[in-house]
Amino acid sequence: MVLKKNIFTIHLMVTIITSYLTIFGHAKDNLIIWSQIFTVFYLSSNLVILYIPTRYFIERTIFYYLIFFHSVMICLGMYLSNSGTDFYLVYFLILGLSSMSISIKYLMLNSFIFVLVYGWILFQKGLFAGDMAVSYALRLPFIIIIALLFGYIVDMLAKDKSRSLKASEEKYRSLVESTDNSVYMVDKDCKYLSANSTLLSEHGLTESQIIGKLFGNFHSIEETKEFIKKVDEVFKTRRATQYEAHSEKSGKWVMRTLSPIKEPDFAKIKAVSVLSTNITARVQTEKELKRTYNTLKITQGQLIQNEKMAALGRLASGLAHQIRNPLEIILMGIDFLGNTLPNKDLNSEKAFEKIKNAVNRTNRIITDFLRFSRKAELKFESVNVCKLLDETINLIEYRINVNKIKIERNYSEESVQVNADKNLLQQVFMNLFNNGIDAMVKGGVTRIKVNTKKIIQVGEKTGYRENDYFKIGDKMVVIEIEDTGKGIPKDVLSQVFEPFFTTKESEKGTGLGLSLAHLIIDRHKGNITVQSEVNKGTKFTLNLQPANN
Amino acid sequence: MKNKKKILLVDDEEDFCFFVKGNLENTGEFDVLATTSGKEGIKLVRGEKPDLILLDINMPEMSGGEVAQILSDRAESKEIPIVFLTALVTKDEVENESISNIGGYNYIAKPITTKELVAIIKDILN
Repeated sequence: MVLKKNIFTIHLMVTIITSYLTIFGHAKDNLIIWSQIFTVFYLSSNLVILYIPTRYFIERTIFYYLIFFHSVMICLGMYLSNSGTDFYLVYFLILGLSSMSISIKYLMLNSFIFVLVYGWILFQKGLFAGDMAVSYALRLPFIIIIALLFGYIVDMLAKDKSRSLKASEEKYRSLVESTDNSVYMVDKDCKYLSANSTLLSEHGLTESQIIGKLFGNFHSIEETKEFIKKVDEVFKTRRATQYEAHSEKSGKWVMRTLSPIKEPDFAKIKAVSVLSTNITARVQTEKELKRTYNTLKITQGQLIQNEKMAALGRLASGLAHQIRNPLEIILMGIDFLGNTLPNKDLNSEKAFEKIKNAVNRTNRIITDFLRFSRKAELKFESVNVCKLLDETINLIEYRINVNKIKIERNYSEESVQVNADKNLLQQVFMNLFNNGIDAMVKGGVTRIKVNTKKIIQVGEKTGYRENDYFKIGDKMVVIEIEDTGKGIPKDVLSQVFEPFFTTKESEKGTGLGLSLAHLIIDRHKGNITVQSEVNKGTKFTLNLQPANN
Repeated sequence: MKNKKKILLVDDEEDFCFFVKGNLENTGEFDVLATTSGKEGIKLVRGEKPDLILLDINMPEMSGGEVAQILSDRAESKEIPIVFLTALVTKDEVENESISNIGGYNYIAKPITTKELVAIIKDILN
């Protein structure tokens, strides 16, 4: 902006003075009209200058055009006016203008031509012959000397400026070079414009091998895509941005800070500077922390669950003993009454039978409960899972048919064996199947999937620790039992393995089925998880220990 | 009426004793002596010489296991078969009541009907 203002000011002065000299310079009669046209044209050129966009004034060519234009115009004005000898004064202004182009060569060339033209005009007008001949002749070398002086001063200033520029550039360069972060510049196409030594040594390249090459030449497609997106963002928003990137090639994590580099005096962004910091250690620590946190959370959950189950076991044996004694008294009492009542009829026999049934049912619940409680002994053996699943399905075939359930089997290996207590595992399958059937009131599909998996991910009771059931790298047998029933709402999903939690009517469920399943699987050093979506279905996933062959 | 078997029942539940005694005697095949205390039971064994002892495990004062231990240590009662009555189920749970060293006993899990009880007693006596 400053430059344009300066140029415009000098331009205005030159046109006004020249026009003045032309108009009032006693033009020859036949040329008066031309001198008027000249003046109008010359003055109006100021308007043209005003409308030339600012950015053109950074280029050197504008000076060449302007100086040439003025030189021609001054000569023309001199020719049109009668006397015209004072025109050379205007030329000093032009010298000032042309010195702004910082080209001493051009300045001298222009001056020589001007001096020649000026000399020729003076000669034409016969001024070299008059009284003032010496005075006029001296003007010519005078112009050259002034031009030289201007040129010299401007050249000195320019050199000085470039020297300090170089020094400050050196200062910043050492700043960029001394850091162990990668610093580089890219243009809109993500072509490297500059690179510091850290970046070069990172890629094992020399400066000439990287400058002008694309970012994509040295990075993976994924990384490049993201980088291009971010560079575009900087160009669009004109603001710095920051993001974390992972290089699959080196396995490193970096934090890239992209900042716009604006051209001086212009709003246009010409490049983007990138500061790339290695944050691998930090990311790894964060990951480790996250993993530890997750493990801790899982362990905490397990501890709570284990404590609950242990309490449940103690409760079960105590409860069983306390309830069975009175139950026994009731049974014996019924027998006693049956034998001693004098007037027995069919109805009282029926009543006795009903009471006995109720006692037996109560005892069954207690027995079920106790069977799975802590103290019960497990008999481990090699169990063919697929066979056991099929056997269990046969046992409940009646329910399956009545409820219009379709069974879909997907056994990847028919012969896969697990280390388990067959009866208890069957009890688990039975519970899961029955739950599924209960959930599918209008019929549906039970999908069973069995396969063997290599353990790769840390999870519940899965990892590297001593007391983890599954170790990373080992194999486990995965059984999925999925139904298309009404599903379990999210807010109660976490409670399904808790004892006495049930969504069924009180006659149908004791609220123990899933908690016992959980207990049994836990005692098999396995785990059971549930996923569910309301109105879509529920999936139970069991991870079990494979049998040692 | 002849050759009735004499059964000793030791259980801390008085009501249980009442009904079992009644039910077994109603079959007409057994005479039943019942007591709610282990100590009393040991005394009765000495005096009455029963053919079979039904012994509850969980009792206050003296547990069924302790009673059995004392009886089997004595020459006069060594040969009398003992049947444990327990409200607990599995074998390892019974063993946890510190009577595993005695071994060779029969266990009856409560609740049980008279019919079943009679069958078991007969089976052992024969």
